[in-house]
Amino acid sequence: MPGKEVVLLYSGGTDSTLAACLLAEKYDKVRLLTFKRFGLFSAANSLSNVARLKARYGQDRFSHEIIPIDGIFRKVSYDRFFTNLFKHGFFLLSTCGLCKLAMHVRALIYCLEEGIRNVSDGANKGMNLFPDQQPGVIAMIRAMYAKFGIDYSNPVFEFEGPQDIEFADRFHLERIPDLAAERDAAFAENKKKTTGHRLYEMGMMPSDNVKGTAQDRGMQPRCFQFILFNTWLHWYYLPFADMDRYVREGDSFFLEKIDRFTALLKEYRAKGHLSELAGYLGI
Amino acid sequence: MKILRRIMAFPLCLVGVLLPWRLRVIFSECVGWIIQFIYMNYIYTLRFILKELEKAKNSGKKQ
Repeated sequence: MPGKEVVLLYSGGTDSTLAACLLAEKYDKVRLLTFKRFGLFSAANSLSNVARLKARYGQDRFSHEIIPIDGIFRKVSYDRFFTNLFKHGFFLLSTCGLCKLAMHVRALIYCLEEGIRNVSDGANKGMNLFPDQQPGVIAMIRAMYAKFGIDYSNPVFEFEGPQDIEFADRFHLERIPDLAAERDAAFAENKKKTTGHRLYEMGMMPSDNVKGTAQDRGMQPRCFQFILFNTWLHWYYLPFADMDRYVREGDSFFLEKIDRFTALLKEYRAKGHLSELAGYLGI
Repeated sequence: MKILRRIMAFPLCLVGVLLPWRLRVIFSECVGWIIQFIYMNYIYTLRFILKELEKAKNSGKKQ
């Protein structure tokens, strides 16, 4: 597809780096967008894998921008605050999902300004506790992009999530052989289907599971706001509700958010810098 | 146990959800670093104990 470009929401982690590799095989140029805001630190960490991508595919095949989203994240998180608080309660602490929605809103504006019709991200089915990586919310985001004539895809969604690092591995202890063999055998097939393994095969990573290692921390931004989300989800919500309910209620919350921002984006397209959204973009 | 977890989580979530966005970020950072501190203490204490046990085991073998 000569001359075809794609925008990729790029954190620098294994999922989005593999997504970048797969897109580089399909498109002429991949525009990597990394987002930064207060609370999302060391966005420049993503540069380490950008250098690897450029070394493998060529300097001209990738461009990389770090874009601030402070205003838009604040708007996404606190828009109609009290209405949402009474209706959805602690779902307002779904910071990871809301942050990703802010990134999508900003990426959509970027696409409109640059005339790009394809967007991708590194969403993966293994990360399904995060609302933005659940099929329901992904379908809503796809519909939002479609309303502006933009195609949204998830090239690594079907890859398996990484194997959890075991207690024994963390301490370099010998594991109970039978149990270890049983557990490893159970994951052996899936291991070959992880994004980390694929990158390792391509020579882009030093091992097939870097999740949780110092290298992993050094190649993507750091954020502690997942702590509140995890506390709410694992200590407050999930012990009293099942996954179906979580997904159902999360879908309802995000559907309202996405509908609201689709309307704001339409207003932005019509009125440009005079629109309500423009005030949150730092334009 | 479930109820205890919920009771412990409730004040953290309540404060977190009511704070304006920059203060919520700072609050998350504080909670994050406290948890990190507890976790690192646990890891390094355990690592130290394991190292000492290994040393004792090796010196026992030599004797």
